[in-house]
This record gives sequence, structure tokens and C-alpha cells, in this order.
Amino acid sequence: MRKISTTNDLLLYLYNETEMTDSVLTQQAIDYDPETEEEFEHLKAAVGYLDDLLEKPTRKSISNILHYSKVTSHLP
Amino acid sequence: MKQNDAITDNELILSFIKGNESSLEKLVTRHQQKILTSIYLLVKNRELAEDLFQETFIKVINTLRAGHYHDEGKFLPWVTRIAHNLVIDYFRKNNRMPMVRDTEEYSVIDNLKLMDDSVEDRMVKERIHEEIRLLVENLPFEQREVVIMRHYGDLSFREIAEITNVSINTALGRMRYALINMRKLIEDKHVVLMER
Repeated sequence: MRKISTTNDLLLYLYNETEMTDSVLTQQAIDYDPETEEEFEHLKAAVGYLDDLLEKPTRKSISNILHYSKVTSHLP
Repeated sequence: MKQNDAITDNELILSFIKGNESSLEKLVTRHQQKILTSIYLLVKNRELAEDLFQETFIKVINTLRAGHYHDEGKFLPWVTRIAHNLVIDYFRKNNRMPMVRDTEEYSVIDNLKLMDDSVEDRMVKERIHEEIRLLVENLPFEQREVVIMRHYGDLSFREIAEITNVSINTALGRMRYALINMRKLIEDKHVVLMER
């Protein structure tokens, strides 16, 4: 069976970078082609893990930035 | 009075330029995690990432005050570009530009020492989380930078292609390989952990 949507199409769709018409076609492919649906779910799962990797800077880094801003605020 | 989340980046920027320092704090707080993580996953050194994070925002402050920022509703992608440029400058200055290993055949998983022997009672999720971090850190640089700029920096694949001087299909391909590598790892680890 011909693959309805390429992985590139799915990636663009996942990140909301498709035009309206392409979005409709890609969503249809996901809805009606099990292979495409599986691939899309896999991509979504992998992308989901990236959100778990977020880290906060130290309080000191934030303070340094705010301090710099304050002391330079009156410079021309 | 608007809630913090309802205030747009552009409103905060305008307020900061007018002299309201607390608006800068709100901007930094809003985007701190994505920017720090973007830098850290590229340089893989926490102390250096903190330094470059500060340098990034110092550049942001100076540029905003100089009136050189033109809002198009894309503050985060703009800051991500600044951070990315500082990372590349750092690598160039220190002759540490990462090697290009951008081929489909390159398998991160083969090159990654997975922690199969860690304490058995660790939660499955925690293990996968740590291994995903290692996996992302060990992706070829070109794949890593696309993942970071697209996922954390909110840059479009077209913008990433322009910044990295490749075609949009190459940028998409790099993202694809990165996610495929991650997917393989997740699947493998699920199987291993289920079998224990």
C-alpha cells in the first residue's frame, strides 16, 4: 500500500506548520490509514519526552541578569 | 489587571523598554527553561550553559534598549537564535566545533552506554527520562540543534533550514532521525524493563 503521508508531512503537521488544506489531508491520512496513524503516534510520543528534559537555570543566573539590567538602565 | 500569562511578550518588552524592570523578570521567568535547556543540550556542560544563558539575556537587554528588536510575535525564536549564535561562537573560539556525523547509518543507541545495571527499583519513567536525556545529548550535533531549535526555540523548519544553511528537507530529515533514534530507545527500554 502506498504511504499516504510522508514522515516529513507528519512532522510539519505535528508542529502546526502545514497550510489548512494540507492539515486536512494529513489528518485524514492519520484517521484512515493505520500505518500513518501508528507513525504519527510514535512521533508524538518521542516529542512528548522532550518536554520532560526542561531544566531551570539557577537563581544566581537570573539575579545576575536582573542586576545587569538594573545597573545599566541609566546608561545612554 | 491582566494576569501574567495573559500579558504578551511584546507588551512586556514595551514595558521594559519604558523602564519597568519587573517586566524583564517576567520575560526571563517565562522563557528561562526553554532557553537554558536549549543551551545545555548543545554544550553539555551545566556551568557553561549558565554562563551562556546569562550572556544571551545580556545581549537581549542591550538589543531591546538600543531599539533593534522588531516584534513579529516571535520573541522566543529570536532569543533562541541569539543563544544558538553564542554557542556556535563559543565552539569556534575554543576550536570545539562538533564533528559532523549526520548520516542515517549513525546509531546513537549503539554509541550510548545505557544504564541497564542501575538500581532495580527505580521507576520506569525516571530511567527512560534519564536515558532520553543521554540520548539527546549524544545525538549528532546537527540533529540535536534541529530538535532544540524546533522543539524548545519555536523556530519553524524553514527558519532552521536558513540558520543552518541546509534545505528544509534536510532539516526535517535531521529531526526525523533524531525522533526515530528516540523512539527506538523508548521501545527497547520498555521491552527490557517489562522483562525484568
